[in-house]
This record gives sequence, C-alpha cells and structure tokens, in this order.
Amino acid sequence: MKKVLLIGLVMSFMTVGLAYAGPPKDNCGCGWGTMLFEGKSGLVHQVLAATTNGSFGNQTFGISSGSAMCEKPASFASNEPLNRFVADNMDNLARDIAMGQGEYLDTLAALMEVPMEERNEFSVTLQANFPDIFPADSITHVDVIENIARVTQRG
Amino acid sequence: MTRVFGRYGFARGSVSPFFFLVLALLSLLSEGNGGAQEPAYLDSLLARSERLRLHDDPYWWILLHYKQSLFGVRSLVDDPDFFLAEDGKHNPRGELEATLRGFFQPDREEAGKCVCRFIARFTWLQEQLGFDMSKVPVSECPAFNETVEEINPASATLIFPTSYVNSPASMFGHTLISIETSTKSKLMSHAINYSATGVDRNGFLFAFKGIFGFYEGYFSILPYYKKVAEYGDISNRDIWEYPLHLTEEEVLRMLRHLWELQEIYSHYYFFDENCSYTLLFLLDSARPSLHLTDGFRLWVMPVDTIRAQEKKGIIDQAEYRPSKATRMEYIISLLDTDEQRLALAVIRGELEPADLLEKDLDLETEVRILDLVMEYVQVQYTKEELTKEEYVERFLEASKARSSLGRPEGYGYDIPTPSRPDQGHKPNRLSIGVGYRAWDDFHEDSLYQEIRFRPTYHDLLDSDKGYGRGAQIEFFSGTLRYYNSADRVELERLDLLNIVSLAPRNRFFKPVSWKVNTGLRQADLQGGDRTLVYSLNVGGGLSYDNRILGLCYGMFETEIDLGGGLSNAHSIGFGGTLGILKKITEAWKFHLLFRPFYFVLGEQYESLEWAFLQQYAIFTNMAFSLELAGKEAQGLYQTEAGALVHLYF
Repeated sequence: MKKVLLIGLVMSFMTVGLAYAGPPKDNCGCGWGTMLFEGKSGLVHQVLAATTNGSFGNQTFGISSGSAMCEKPASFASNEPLNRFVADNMDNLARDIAMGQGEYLDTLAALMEVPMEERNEFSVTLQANFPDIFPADSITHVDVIENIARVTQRG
Repeated sequence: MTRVFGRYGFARGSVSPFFFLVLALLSLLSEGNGGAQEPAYLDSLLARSERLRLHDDPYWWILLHYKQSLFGVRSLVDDPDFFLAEDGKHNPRGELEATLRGFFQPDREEAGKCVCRFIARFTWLQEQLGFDMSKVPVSECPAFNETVEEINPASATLIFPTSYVNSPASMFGHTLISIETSTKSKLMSHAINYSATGVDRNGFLFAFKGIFGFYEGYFSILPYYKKVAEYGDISNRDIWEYPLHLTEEEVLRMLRHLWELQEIYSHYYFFDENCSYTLLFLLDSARPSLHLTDGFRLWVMPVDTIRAQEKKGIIDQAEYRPSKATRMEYIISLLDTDEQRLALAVIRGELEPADLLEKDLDLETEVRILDLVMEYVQVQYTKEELTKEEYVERFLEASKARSSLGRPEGYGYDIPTPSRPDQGHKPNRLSIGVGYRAWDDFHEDSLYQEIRFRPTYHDLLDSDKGYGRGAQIEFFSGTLRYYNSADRVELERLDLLNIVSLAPRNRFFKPVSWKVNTGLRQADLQGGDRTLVYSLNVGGGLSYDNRILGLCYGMFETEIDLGGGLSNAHSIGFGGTLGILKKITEAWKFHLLFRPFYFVLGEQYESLEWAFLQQYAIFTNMAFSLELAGKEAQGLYQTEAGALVHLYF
C-alpha cells in the first residue's frame, strides 16, 4: 500500500511540475531566434513569482547604453533604432513581411521614414521579395536591412 | 558627501578641452567673491524653505517616498544612496537641508553630480524657492537633458499584462508604464518596469524572501517590444494598454523622478511594496494631486491600481493586444478539422508548405494555415521543442510559401476583444448563506447559516468577465457555519492557498491542468465526529473543452492531513476529481464534480464526495449561488443544500 501511495505522490507532483514553463530570459541578439527560453522551475517559485512577474534580468536603464550590436549595415548605418529593432525582432518582422502586414512591418516602415502614402506599396514590395530579403538561414540583421534597402531602393 | 556621490558620474566621454578651459576660468572668477556669497545665499534659501515648511510639502514626500507609519516617518526607499542626510530615511527636514547644501556646495563638480543625481528634487526646489540662477553653482544636468532628447517623451501608457490561466507566476498580472515618443511606433516606446532582482531559483527560498522583503527591487527601462515579446509571445499573456491622460510636462516630471531612482533599490515585498505599488510613485510624481500611493493597505493587486487610476480620471480607454497564444487559438477556431490536420502536418514537417499550396484549398484557408504555422513553430522554438536548425528551416519555408500568397481581400484577424480586467468583479468576496444539512445517524439534521470571506481573488464559478477562463486563485478564504440544532459555530474550512488551473487541451496545445490546495478543513472520523486538520492537497490531470458539456477535466490527487484528532495524528491518501465546468450564459455557470479518495496511511478510510454548484452573477459585483453536495466517508453519508449571496468589493 505504501508503494502505491508513494507512486501516487510522485505522479501528482510530477504532473504539477510539468505544468510550468520557466521565466523568460532577457533576450537580445543578432540573427535568427531572438527569443530564447530557459528551462522549467519549481512550483512555489512560480506561485510567488506572481507579483515580481518574471523580469529576472536586472538590466537597469537599457536606453542610454544601447544594446550590444554585432555590426552595422552600410545603408541606414546611422539609424541606430532601426538596427536595434531589426536585430531584436527578426522573427516577428519576417512573419509580418510574409503576411504583408502587421505592427512589426509598420514599425520598420516608420523607422525607415517611409511616407504614409507609400506604406502600402512598401509592404507589397517586401512581401513579394521575401525570398530575396531572407534568402538563407544564417543571415543577420545587417543582411536583412541591406536586402530591404535594395529591394525597396531606399537607403 | 563624497561617499554618496563618488560612484556616480554622468559626464560623457567627449567633452571638448575648451569646455574645461571655460570651466576653469569661471571657477577662478568665482573664487574671490562667490566663495563668500554662496554660503549666505544658501542660508537664506534654508531659512526660506524652513519658513515655507517645504519638508512637509506632499511633493517632497512623494519624491522621497515618505510614508507616515505607526512608528513615525519613513521612506519606502531602502538604498542609502538615495539619501544625503545620515538619517534621511526618517527625516524629511534633514534630507531637504542636506539636499540644498548638496546643490550649493562650493565644489562645482560635486554640486553638478548632486544636481544630476537628484534632478527632480533640484527642479522642484528651484520652482518653490525661485533660485537666483547666477548663484546656483550648476543649474542643469546635461546627461539628463540628452536622455530626454533621446526618449523624446510625448505621452505615457499604463501597460497591464494579464495573468495566463496555466501559469501561476502570472497570477495577478503585472503593471508597467510605457513612454511614447511623438514620432515612433508603439513597439519602439520605452517600457518602465519595477521588479525584484537577483531572485533565487529555489522555490521556498524565493517565497520566503519575497514575502519578507529580502529582495531588492529596481526600476529598469527596456524597449517596449522586449516586454511584448516577454509577455505576449513567450508567456501567453494578453496585454491591455491604458493611455494615461498626462501632459508632456507631467511625463517629464515622471522621467525626472525615474532618473533619480536609477540604480536605487527598495526592498521588494510581493504583497504590498510590489511592482504595481511602486509604479504609482511615478504617477504621483507626475501629478501629485492623484495621491495614488496613499490608498492601499495590506496588499496591492495590479488590477486594483488600475481601478484607482481610473477613479482619478487619468485613464479611461484601453486597447487590447492579444498574445501569440490568443492569436493562434483564434486562427485555429477558423479552421475545420481537416484543415487543422493539414496545419499540424505542416508543423510536424510531414507536409512541405509548398506542397500545401498544391492541395485543392481556397486561398483564404491556405493563408490561415500558413499564418498559424509561422506562429506555431516560433512557439515550438521558444519551448525548445525544435532545434535552431529545424526551426529556421520550417519557419522560412512556411514564410516563403505564405509570402507568395499575397494579401487576399479583406485579410486580417478580427480577434474579439474580451472584457477589460478592471471591469470584472472585485477581488474581495463576502458571502452569506443558509442551508440544510441531512447528517448521519449520530447527528440531528440541521439548518445552518454561514459566512464566507475571501480577500483574493477569483474562483471557478465567479464570472469570467475580465478574468481568464478555467483559473481559480484564492488566498485565505474561510467559511464559518452556525448549526442550529447543535447551537454551535464551526470553522468549516480556511484555505491558505487554493489554486486550480484548468487548461483545455486540443490538437495543437497540450497543457497540463493542476491544483494546489492547502489549509484547515474538517475531516470525518469514525462514529460521526469531525476534527479540524491541516490539509495539503495537490493534483494534476487533463482538461478538454467540449462544445456541449463545457470544460471537462480529470485530476489525479494526493492529500496529506495532519491533526490531533486523527489516528496517529495523520491521514495520507490519494484519489482524484472528475468534473464539468459549464458556462450556460455569460452570467450563469455550473460545476459538477465527483471526488473519490482513499486514505491509506494513519487514519484510514474511503470517501466519495459529489457536488453540483451553480452561480449566477446578478451584477458585476454581486452573485447568487445554489449548492448541492453529498459525501460518504467512514461509512456515513451526509448531504447538504445551501444558497448564498456573494458580494464583491
């Protein structure tokens, strides 16, 4: 009987344990896969992370320092916010470009100072040229910005 | 003074030699007469501030986070670097004097650091005392000005990532503030976040330290898109954005105060001095008449801070930003079973996205499937279910195929906006009820009256309006009953913690449902007696959503009961719950459940409970419920029927 109970206990704790995904890691990087995830963690931790809300990074005042950048593209080299945005949001930006619309695409257009009346054409051009903008799996934000500049003839 | 400011320097690297030359000349010029004049001017300012009793001014108290407590005045800020006076944490007057002395010290460099360190104090004192600018050693902070120029603040928004059903870490939600620039998009705004740092991985340590304030909370600023990724994409939490009605000047005041708080810690307490409460100091600093930090006791729920801000009129509208999970669920809801299977085939790599386009599907369906696939593989990657190579390949293939389909007419996902969190029921609940209990052979059947109180937050039968579905989170919930026939009051139960998370599974998502319940409850003994025990019950299982039945779930559970009345003072067992939770209308829900349990160690017995519970929300903050329940334990059978009125406040 004791064995049954023990198995029962272990099982129920295990199932409880499975239900959690750990807190997100602070993400910042170049190239693909900017969203990385950390492993799982315990119950009470999760329960009481309630009000701290998972910002486990202690990055204080990121704005003035700027995030670590790999390199800068030739076009838009001086547009630091654009570089940072594309580097940090490659995946969502690629999705929006493939869909031909979305907030990340709008933000890209705003950062590249595309006039409002040209935004639609901008989106259509990017969508139509998706394979040229994201040609391979190892490209970086630098390539992406340069490819975008090329296909839209901006920069 | 040097000790305090030694660590801080905001001077930028590229200052021209000419600047130093001018500075040197200026200081030479002021050596002679200025050195003698400044102390006199400082004295007059000190006297004037004393006359005006500036140290009692509410704004000074806001800037220093002073609060009157039973033991006198204290600042909620704990970092010694935040104070210039030795006893600044408890002495508003001394701190004000030390601050003025700091700004007017003869050493120009030190004075400059002081101004840069405390730009909000400087600006406010200057406004109150009308500094003679020719007598102020340093009158501005270039580093702060540069930052303001960079941020270009135009407006501010209160951000509320809601809780997600299956993640207790998110249980009450969270608040942060974003500062928008006039030109850029929302994603590029700056998110101001207050959070505990250096937290432990060990759960119990984390709990203990968090409750008793062992962690240090710091403010941080990150691009808002990082917060959207963290909450919306990774944690599956929908986000609400409430534009704050603040003027540009008020936003600037908020930034000045935030500037003062950089690298300054306060002890972080989960329940009261938490993210949402500390954030209110920023709003009070923006507009002191709000008095937002005054109105809270014991604990601060993020959604309550939103209600408070609404009451003060600085927010009214809200925008909904559905999480990635919500977006995917919505797309799934548009696909029929065959289409869902096709989507899964693409997700699993069994069907090439290019081949999907060869199938005889209409354009709209192809678009939906590929949109879903792109989002889904992103999630798989964040969950480490795909390697980077697999992810990139599948994501790129799907994106390429999707881009070839263009934008069909009328394209877009019009995800329905749920009720706002601040428009749901309030978290405190007081319930009053009557009922009848048909007892066993040893007791007379009896009428009873009962009273229940729950300070937080939501249970399965409470209206979902403004809350996540299938989630229950209760703390310190208790029930007292008066039995007429026995003329006795009994504590039926007192839950310290009662959490249930029912997350339905489907073809695409396989979450696990679980529960934790711990506290005092009545256990049945042989011969019909009852005894109060401390009980810990945990369980895990599965839930499924059925269109007709509602949310159906099954859980495997174990329970440990401890109490002097039990044989060998304990009772340990296992069992489970099978239940159906159904929303009949927006206001009306029922919950049917069965709970067989086998206690095999200590006090040994079997029990079978069932319950049929219904609740109807008459108003947002008032509900009515009918409860029918039965229990067979220790060979005895009891049933009861009760009716309750619930008031939320």
